Amino acid sequence: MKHRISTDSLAREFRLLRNRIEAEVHAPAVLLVTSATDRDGAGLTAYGLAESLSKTHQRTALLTTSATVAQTEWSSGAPAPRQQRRRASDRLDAGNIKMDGGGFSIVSVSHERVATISRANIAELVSDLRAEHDYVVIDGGSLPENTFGLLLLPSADATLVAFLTGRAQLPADRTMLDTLEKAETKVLGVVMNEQATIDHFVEQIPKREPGIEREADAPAKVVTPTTFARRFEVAVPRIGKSG
Amino acid sequence: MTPQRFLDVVKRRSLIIWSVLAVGLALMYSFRGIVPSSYSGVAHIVLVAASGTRDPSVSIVDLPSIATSTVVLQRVRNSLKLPVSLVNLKGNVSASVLGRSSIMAIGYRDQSAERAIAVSNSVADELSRYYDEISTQSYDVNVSRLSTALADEATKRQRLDQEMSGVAASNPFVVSDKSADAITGQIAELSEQRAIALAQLQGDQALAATTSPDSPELSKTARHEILAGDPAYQAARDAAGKDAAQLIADKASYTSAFPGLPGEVAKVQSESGLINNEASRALSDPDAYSASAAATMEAHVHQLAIIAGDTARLQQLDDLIAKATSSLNQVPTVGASYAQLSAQRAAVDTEYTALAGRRANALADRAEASSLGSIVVLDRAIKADTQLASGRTRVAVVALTLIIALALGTAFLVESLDPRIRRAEDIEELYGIPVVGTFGSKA
Repeated sequence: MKHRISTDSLAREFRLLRNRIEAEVHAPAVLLVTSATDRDGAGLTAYGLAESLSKTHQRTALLTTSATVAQTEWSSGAPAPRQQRRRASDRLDAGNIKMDGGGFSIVSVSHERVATISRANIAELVSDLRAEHDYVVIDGGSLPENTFGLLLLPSADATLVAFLTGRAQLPADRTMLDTLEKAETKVLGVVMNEQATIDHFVEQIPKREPGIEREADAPAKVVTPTTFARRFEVAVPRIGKSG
Repeated sequence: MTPQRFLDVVKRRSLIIWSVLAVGLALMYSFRGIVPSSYSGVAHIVLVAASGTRDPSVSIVDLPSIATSTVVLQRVRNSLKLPVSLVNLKGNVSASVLGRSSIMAIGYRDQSAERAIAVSNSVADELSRYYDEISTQSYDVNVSRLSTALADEATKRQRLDQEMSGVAASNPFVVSDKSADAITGQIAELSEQRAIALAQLQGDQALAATTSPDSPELSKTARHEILAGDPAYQAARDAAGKDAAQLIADKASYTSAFPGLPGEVAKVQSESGLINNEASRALSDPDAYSASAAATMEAHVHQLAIIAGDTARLQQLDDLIAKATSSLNQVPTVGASYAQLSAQRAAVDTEYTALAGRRANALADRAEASSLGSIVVLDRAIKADTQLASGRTRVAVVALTLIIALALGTAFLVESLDPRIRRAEDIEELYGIPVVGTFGSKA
């Protein structure tokens, strides 16, 4: 059941989370946000945290996987370092999308291609991002359900676990904990997702008309990949088509 | 559970709560008619205590507890023959002190207005009596013990009196200090009376001898009177007299050769024999009566009775003299016993007097104690005071409370059975790691 969430309240909650993380993990650092299930909101947590970190004028990158985002590109914020994007793009397969927005960079890796990416390439990508940014926030998704987070787990300096309140305990919870324990990664704690949806973030973004070309200097408004794809699938030009 | 947690659960389970409330209210409305009306009677009492004196009784704050005590209520139940249990009675009786005053209201709630009034008034009355009992209880115990001791002493005194009466009855002279002198004097007096009685007896016996029916004179007189009163004898005698006179006249006129003489002589002799026969017949006749003989006989019988009385009197005097003599002989032993009983009775009298004095003092103390404080029924419950009590309202409030409790309980039961995890504590327990942030909270 959806409920009204204040934008200011959401920003305040992520600000509190950001302050706590900044106190415990000093830049430069790689933060992995993972969860037991895909519905727990690891992506939302990663996005919100990255956005909040970027508001303190820290160079922040969000590394995420999304099949839909992988097919789109939209940049309305400050121009991303093209060299970086190109380098990352070069190291990943063509079709992987690098996005800028809200003062932080969004680097999206196609979900389908994750399986084809070597651990070394992933490590190199993270290394590049770490060199260019103060904080690299990785949307690791569900640790038991996909391999992306598992691949990035060794590269993370600290890990956050997202949990969607209101769901019952699942076997995936135990699996995730076992995985984290085996990886011996530093777990900062759990971030409770009080059933917020990406719609709460989307409301901040001005709706675009279909067919409008992207404007490089448009105000920095970014949405996370999933919603981005759902809401701007038509409005946002395909990078492949726009050339 | 924190208030926030409580509110969260209430908000989350509001649908259940409202559903239970709706069903409960509907049921309550449906069954509203089965709740009977009740009435409340209220009486007021005031605690009156003498100022400046020690009050041995309880204070006003204790009265509600006493008014609703089982002692008082059981008395009320017995006096009114109430068909309710003591528990129900206790549950419907209320007693409360009005502010800081010495006045207490006693109420009773019942479906019968008359019984509500009667019970509240009866509780007030019994409370007043019971308060007096409490105030004088210690004195009552003392008085009771003294009364028992007095009764024992009275019994003892009565027993001694009986024993002394027995001794006095057996020897009346022991009662006097100079019993020997008294007995001796009495013996002398009795002896004198005996002498007089003896003389009287002897005189009467002599008189009786003179009136004996066996005297020859009385026999002659009686014969004469009987024969004189017998006509046949008199006729024979007259006829014989005439013939004898005729014979004498003929003998004087004639010689022995007169031929009529032998006949006359034989006739005279025959009539003489007839006279004797008639005399015998008259004397032997059972109806023969002699006035002199009868009077003599009566006088003789009377005299014999006097002699018998004299004899009895003499015998009585002899007995009295013998008894007095015996008493005189018993004076040394019976007198000592009587003196001992008399001494015991004097001791009992002294003890009885002392106990009576103490009991009088105890009664005075009790009277003083009862006057120090008392409960007065200030305002009796009357019919006009009877009001329709809020029986239905009370039931409705209770039912509503229960429904709300049921609704909340159901909500929390469902919450407890819900496996979904919502609280940070539950997540930390599940993962074993702390919750460092939350987002997406409701506005």
